Amino acid sequence: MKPNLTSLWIEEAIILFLKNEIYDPSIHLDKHTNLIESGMDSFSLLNMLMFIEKKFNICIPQEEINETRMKNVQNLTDLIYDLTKKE
Amino acid sequence: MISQKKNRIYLNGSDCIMLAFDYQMRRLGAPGNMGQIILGLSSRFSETDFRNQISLVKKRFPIINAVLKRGLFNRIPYWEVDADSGLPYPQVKTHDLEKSTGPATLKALKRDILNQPMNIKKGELVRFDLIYTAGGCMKVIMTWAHVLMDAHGAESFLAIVGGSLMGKTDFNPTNNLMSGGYKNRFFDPPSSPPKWQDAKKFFNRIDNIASAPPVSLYTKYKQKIKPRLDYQIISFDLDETKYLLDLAEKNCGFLNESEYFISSVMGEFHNVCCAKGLDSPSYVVPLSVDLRKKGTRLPVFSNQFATLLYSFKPENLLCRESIIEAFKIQTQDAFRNNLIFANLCALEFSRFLPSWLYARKVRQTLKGEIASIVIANPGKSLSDLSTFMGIPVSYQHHVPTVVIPPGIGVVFYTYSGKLFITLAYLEGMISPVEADEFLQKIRSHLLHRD
Repeated sequence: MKPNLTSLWIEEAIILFLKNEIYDPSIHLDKHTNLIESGMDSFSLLNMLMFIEKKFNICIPQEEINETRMKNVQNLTDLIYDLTKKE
Repeated sequence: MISQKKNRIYLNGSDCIMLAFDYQMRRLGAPGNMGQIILGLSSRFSETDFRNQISLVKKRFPIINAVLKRGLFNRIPYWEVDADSGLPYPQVKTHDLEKSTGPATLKALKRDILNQPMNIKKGELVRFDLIYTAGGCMKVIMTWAHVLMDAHGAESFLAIVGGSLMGKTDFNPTNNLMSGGYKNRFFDPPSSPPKWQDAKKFFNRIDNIASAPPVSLYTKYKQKIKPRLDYQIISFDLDETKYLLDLAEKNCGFLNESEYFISSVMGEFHNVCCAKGLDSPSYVVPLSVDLRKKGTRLPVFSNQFATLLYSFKPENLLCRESIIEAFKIQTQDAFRNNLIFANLCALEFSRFLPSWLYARKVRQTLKGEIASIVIANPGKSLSDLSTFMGIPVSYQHHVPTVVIPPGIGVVFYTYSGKLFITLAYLEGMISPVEADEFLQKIRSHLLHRD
């Protein structure tokens, strides 16, 4: 059974993961930071998607993996929130 | 973490494989495993100022003329860093081509610089060449030993030398340099043994490839090939770059341009091999996975990557779709079996073996081959390199030496939004005309003009 997710909790979980695993500490990260411009590559994208799918027990459809959805944590949070509601 | 004992910095596994490749290349008469960045400047800076700047940087980073040694008991290689060593490196050489007769002289000089070996055992790890050209322009060439740092590290280092990064970062490398949960890959000496079982997954992958071992152009024609490197570079304008990146996303998915680039190279490389009468049962392509924390602007002074080995059968290389499909299947398999971590564990073995033995093991495993072609995509160049010593940079090129075999490699990189491709190869492997044709076909393929 999925936990009752709130947008704030999703946001915090993603930011914490990105800070610990993907980005250099010198990079300022908040929900509006452009992830692509901050240096994300295909390998780190895949890492992040694997984390999200495992953490929130969802499957992100291929067509949702695009520049708009992956632009920042805000957009990712909206996507995850929508997907958890659907499933 | 990287172990530090006063003036002793241990090499990590990725550094050691770079060292083994260096040994392998020198054994075959080539200059060694090096990287090169070329900057084009529209005006000149003062040579004295530059030499002063090098002295400052050397004081701040004495590792740039560290001496390579091995532990007496554990045999693990390390840099012996001595700030007061007084070694005459890095050297700055100047070349005046102000009155040269044409581009051929500059081209020949650049090739000579690429083919000058470095004495890494004596502390020569970085070298600068300043070329003064007509019209008050100049070129700055930084050549570095690949065992010291990767291309990203070299860009950061060059930005520090050029002054644009000086003072912007605190230069205190943290232990946490790696992304994606690979932070704990280093085994501090005296170490626990490497993770043999994890490493075995990577060796199994090599065994699987070795069931149909590749034959490289080098091996087939080694009698005719000289151990001297040549290279050619092509560029795409802003519109072309945008267009082909859109095509890459459409064909291979978001942020997957590497897959698109590789499909273009492999399709055309197969055609080159067929035209030269090479009938290889498979093609092996090693691809580096950049494990550096994203957004890092530190030179780091160690190689932060893992290597995934891709194998293509000739039937996989008939069209773009079949190459992409073969690539995707192997990428999924690599992630499913955690081959990135397996490779890091395998690389740790290289720390305990002498370079010559490790290089021999690598060759033996694939029946004398290391790869069919080397392909790299370091991506966007550092924006801090838009000026150097206060002068705007007109272009930046990457030129690597390429491990032998195969002795041929293709590097993709973008600078100021434009895509560049460098094809580096041993003289005699392909002619300059064939190299140009190869690059033009890659261009057509990338732009869907094939």
